[in-house]
Amino acid sequence: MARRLRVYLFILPAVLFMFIFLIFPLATSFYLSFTKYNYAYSDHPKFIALGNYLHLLQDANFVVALHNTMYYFSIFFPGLISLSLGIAILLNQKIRGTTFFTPALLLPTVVPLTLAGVAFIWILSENFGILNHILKNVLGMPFLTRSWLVERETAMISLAVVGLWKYTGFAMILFLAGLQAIPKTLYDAAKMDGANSVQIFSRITLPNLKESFILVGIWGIIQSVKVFEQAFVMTKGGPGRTTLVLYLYAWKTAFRFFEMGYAASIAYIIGIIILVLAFVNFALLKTERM
Amino acid sequence: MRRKWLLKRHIRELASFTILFVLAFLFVSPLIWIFLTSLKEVKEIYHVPLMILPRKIVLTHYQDILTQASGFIVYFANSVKVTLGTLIFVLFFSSLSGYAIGRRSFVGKTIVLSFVLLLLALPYIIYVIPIYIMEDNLGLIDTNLGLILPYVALNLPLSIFIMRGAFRTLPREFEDAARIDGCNEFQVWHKVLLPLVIPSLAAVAIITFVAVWEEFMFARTLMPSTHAQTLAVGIPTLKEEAKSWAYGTLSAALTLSILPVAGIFLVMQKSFVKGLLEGAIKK
Repeated sequence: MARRLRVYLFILPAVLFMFIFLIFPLATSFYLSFTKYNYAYSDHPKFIALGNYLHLLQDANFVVALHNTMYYFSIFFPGLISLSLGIAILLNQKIRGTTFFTPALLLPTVVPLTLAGVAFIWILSENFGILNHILKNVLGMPFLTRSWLVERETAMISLAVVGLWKYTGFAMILFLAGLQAIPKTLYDAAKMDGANSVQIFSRITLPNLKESFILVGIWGIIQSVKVFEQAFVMTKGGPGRTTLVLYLYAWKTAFRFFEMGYAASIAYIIGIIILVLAFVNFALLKTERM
Repeated sequence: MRRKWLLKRHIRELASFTILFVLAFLFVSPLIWIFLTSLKEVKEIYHVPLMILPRKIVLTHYQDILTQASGFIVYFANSVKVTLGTLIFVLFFSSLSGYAIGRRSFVGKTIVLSFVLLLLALPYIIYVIPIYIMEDNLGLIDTNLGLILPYVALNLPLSIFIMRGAFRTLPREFEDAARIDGCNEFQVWHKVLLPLVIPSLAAVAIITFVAVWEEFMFARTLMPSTHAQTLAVGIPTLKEEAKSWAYGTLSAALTLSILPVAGIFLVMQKSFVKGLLEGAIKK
């Protein structure tokens, strides 16, 4: 009996921590999302039922933030898939000297995104930035230079490029693991049958990478929904509202305007989107493995 | 015929190599650029047209941030304290519960496991609002402990998952032999099984290290004062607020802030990739 109970001692510290700092906040946030609670002025949260969620639909900022997040996704996602898959395929050829490139491609993964953001502000700066310098003086295309983070057309693209710089390595690792799991005999058999490289790629490589596509795909969508640091550090949501993304809007609502109730409802919308995606991921992988 | 085939193969390999080389260079070039900037004199940094390589290497920017009463040393110390504090708790707690969940059966195991999965998926923004209110009431805002406590919790779900997987794959014999020798539960865990899961502990350690070193939202929210901030928050804030931090000093600070994670990554690359893969596949 004592031995039976002793097993709970092993999980107790972790469960305690997760209860106080994750599960309890999760429940509190849920409750707050049905209240009006300005942390600077109100004494207590005031219950307003679905008030916050109904307000979201008429909130121009929320609609803009949702739209901006989707715009970020539309640049980041195709870039992520094509870059990471392309690099993984090249690396998987195992050409001499290329294993040395893997650490270089993975290095951004460990670099704090906000510090990278500061570095990229410098790189993209209009007058002293190296990008404009290269475009103008090295490549001889001065018409391409611009004030990348200040102009409406390029601000979000710049943030997405920084996102790609940071996250491509991780996606590449997932694709590489998928590629290495494909049995070599499949390729040998295809070559014996006289298949050309395009056929081999579309008939063998791609179908066998389905699991990696699901993993990277869902992960890439979630990463876009959560985009935050670049916008916070590099553009502060600007110019105007062009880079005001969902996560940034939720954070500002909570910690600039102290509207905790309303912010909690935005946070829950983000959470629900991500949970649905995680569930789709889980379900797809399960059917895939059956 | 064979020669032609070989030639074609060589050209293809050369093309692949070149593309990979260019991409790898592009990925590290922002870091190289920051490092080069940190070595230049101020007038060279703001010289038009730009000079890529420093004409004269100076270490004054490093001297400035390390000696002046700049925030850098404070931020660095905070990052180290918070990261190591979190790491110790996460390693200890995740290896304890990973053992219980991976090797023992008990009432409520499925519930614990499903909560771990759920908590793994949810975004931090949901947690940060109530935690801020809670810590404000407890007076934990602007303290290292106030950051370590939620960081331990936030990094536990993934770590528990990795450790559970590690313990689960160990053969039963070790455990049984130790039990016959009279080891109790705790001794079995720490004397017999723990040494066998060191690779996974290393993976947990580096994943947690990187996550805490770079975490921004909790640090920015719970540490509003300069004296308590970590590097990931302090340096962008300085850039934003005090324009006096020119890019020479800023680049030196960035270089020194990235160096510890980059160094650990280069040494423990295998463990890092292992942790990434296990986390991704189980998520």
